[in-house]
Order: sequence, then C-alpha cells, then structure tokens
Amino acid sequence: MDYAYYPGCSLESTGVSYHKSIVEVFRALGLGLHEIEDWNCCGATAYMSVKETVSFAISARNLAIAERMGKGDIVAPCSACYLVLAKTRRFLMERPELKSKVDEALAAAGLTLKCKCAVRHPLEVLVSDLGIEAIAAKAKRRLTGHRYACYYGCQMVRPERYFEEDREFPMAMDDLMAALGAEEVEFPLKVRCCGASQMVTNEEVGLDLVQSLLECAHARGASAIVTTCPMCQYNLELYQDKISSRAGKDLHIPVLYFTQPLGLALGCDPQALGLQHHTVPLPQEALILEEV
Amino acid sequence: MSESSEFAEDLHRKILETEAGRDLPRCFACGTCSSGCPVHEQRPEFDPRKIIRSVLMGLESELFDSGVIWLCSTCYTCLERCPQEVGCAQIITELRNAAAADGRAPEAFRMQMEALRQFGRVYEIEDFDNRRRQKMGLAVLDSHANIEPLLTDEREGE
Repeated sequence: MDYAYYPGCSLESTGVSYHKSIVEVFRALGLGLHEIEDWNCCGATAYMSVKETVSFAISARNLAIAERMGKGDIVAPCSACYLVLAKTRRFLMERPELKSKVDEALAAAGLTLKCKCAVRHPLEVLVSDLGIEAIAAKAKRRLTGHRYACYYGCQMVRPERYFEEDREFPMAMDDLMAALGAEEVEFPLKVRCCGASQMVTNEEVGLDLVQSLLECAHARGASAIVTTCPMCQYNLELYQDKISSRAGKDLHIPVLYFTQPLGLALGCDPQALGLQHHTVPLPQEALILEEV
Repeated sequence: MSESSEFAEDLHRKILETEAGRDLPRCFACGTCSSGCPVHEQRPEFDPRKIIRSVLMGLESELFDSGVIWLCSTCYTCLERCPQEVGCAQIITELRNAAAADGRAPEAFRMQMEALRQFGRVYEIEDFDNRRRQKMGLAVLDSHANIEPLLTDEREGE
C-alpha cells in the first residue's frame, strides 16, 4: 500500500522524533510513504485566523501536488495539518464558488485540483488499512509493564468526521497499545484540549490546560503519555519544569508519539525512532522489552 | 451615522452573511458550548454562549476591544456538543479574520505570516535539516516553497 506523505512544518523542527518514527514504522510495516514534493505550510494558525481564504489556497497547493504524484491518500501526522487539509478539501468539494477562486490561484501556480486524494491521519490509516491484529502479528517485542495514557487531543477527532471513532471517547490508540502488550490506563481527559497555540499567545491559559492533563496522567498511574500530534506533544513535554514548580509537585512524565512505542514493539532501533530527542526521556529499563 | 457605528453595522452584516454567521440564529442559548469549553473553565471571561449572543446583538466591536476572541484554542468541543450544530469555533475564525483586517491581529500571528511569505513554511529548512532528512532516506527540500502565486486573495485585501 502506498500513500502521499505530508510531514508539515512541526515535524521538521520540534516534532522531529515523530517524523523519524513514522518513516521507520511505515517502513517496518511494508507501507510506502511518498513525501509530497516541495510541500508548503498547511495554512493552520496564522493564515486561518488572519485570512482564511488564503489558508485554503495554500493548503490546496499541497492537495494538488499530491494528486499530481498519484501515490494515493495523503497521510498527515500533525493534527492541525490534518484538520486544515481535510477541511480545505471538504470545503472545496462543497462550495463551488470557493473552488473556482482557489482553482484560479492554483492555475497561476501551474496546478489543477480534482480533490481525488483523501486526507488521513496515520493512526487511522494503520488501524483501518492494516488493522490492529495484523500489526500485532508483526510485533517482535511486547510492551509489558508500560502504562500509557493515550491522549488524542482535539483536532484528529473533531470536527471532521473521517475517523470512525467515538469523538468524545476514541479507543483506537488504546486498543493498539493493548494489543502490543501495554497495560491499559483509563485516561478520561483523552480528548481535552492541550491549549494549542495558547502557549504562544496566552501562556497562562495554556499552562492551566496542560497542568490538568499532567495531573490526570499521574493520578491514573501512567508511565508515559502517548500522543498523536506534534503540538500536543510539545505543550505536554516542554513546560513540565514550569508547571511542576507552579503546582508545587513533581509532574514530570515522558510524552511520546504513538509511533514510538509501536516502533519499539516492531523491533525498530530506539535512536531511529528519535527517542534521544526528548527532554523527559523514557527510562533506559523501559527500552528492555521481552521478545514475542 | 457616526463612523464607529457605521463600522459596527457593516461588520455585523458581514459576519452574519458568512456560512457560520447564517447558522447563528439556530442557537437557543442552552450553554452547552460554555459548559464544555476547557478555556471557559480556566478563564470565565471567555464565554462561547456570550460570544454568540453578542454577535446576534451586533456587539462585535466589544468582542474586539476585550480581546476575548483570541482566547479560543479551536478544540471544537463546542461544535461537537452543540444540539443545534452551531458551535462557536467557526464564528470566532470569522471574527478573527475581521479583526485582523482591521489591523488587530496579535503580534505572534503577524510574525508567523512574515515567515510564511518568506519560506512558504513556518520555519526555514536549512542544510542541517536536509542532512537529517537524507539520513532518514528523504529527499532534499528547497529552503523556500513557492506559495507566492497563491497569495492573490491577500493582495486584493491590501
């Protein structure tokens, strides 16, 4: 199976371990990832807030290049990119007026767009196209003793409806981790907002939101939080010193991408999965896993 | 009519004409949006129900002045739970677009737009990044993705 790959800006900077682990995991599972040539910003944050029509136009450029490459559906690991690309595609299919305006802009860039390639999140791709059982069958190691709080955040489950999951209580990642041998952790805040770009524009609001998530993960006895989005991961990991000192208690906990424990189970090298890049690392003993 | 009230009326009309604006009259003010909003829980002054009421009453300028529209983190819980499928997140995007057109976007947004115009991405892809990409088996990326032809709509607005 082949896919067009849209890494997005975050995966080239703060989310580099997500970038590495996705490439590694897709390779280990025998799935082809073909990066969209010369991709640009998805149009999230700034343009969406400042001038949404421009965000649709620059987003559409990525959709058009992926379509020209003809490698299949687009895999977008960042939840914000995923949402903006998927929303752009839906709006362009539903609103002919917007479509003709964007088509004009695309024509100036020598591109055309028929909206043929669906936009999908890698978690959904793995769970739907391969299936949890087939993935678990390829595992070389068991995640025994790992207790993951599976955190889905907002934009992967809301508001677009392409992920056939309960949007208030998704289970795909929990089920995948359990199939790989991890202990299940009930994490009721699994779809509650991490604060997103509030950390830049209104830091105190962002810190409050992240603190409630870290407190919940600790209260539930998680050994790590597992995420599906580079912004969630960044917010949850990088402010732990500050949040621990304002809360007056130690709230440190490793925050991983779901592709990292999955990669460990598939027998990938921890360095190739980018585990060395984290500021709150997984303890060394957590990397010693029993063979299947 | 004073200049400020003319601005307010014009803005009100434009907001109600948007797709999200046309949904607003369906709101029966049940407050499900506010009760589920994680930002409202931390900052009571950010109140989605009140924002929807304010827009329906033509008080958009007050929302601009108080700055509350920049507190939404677009998590879409309001839309998910709204029994009338109104939500607040999309109308806030419209309000932000209108505020930005009036020169009132926060500095952080302006800086990010500058980077986007320059590199086509939020960050510049440098040699260091490309060396890492090659080790991962990925192609070298040009430091600048050309989105210039797609910014026509932005130029129209200037």
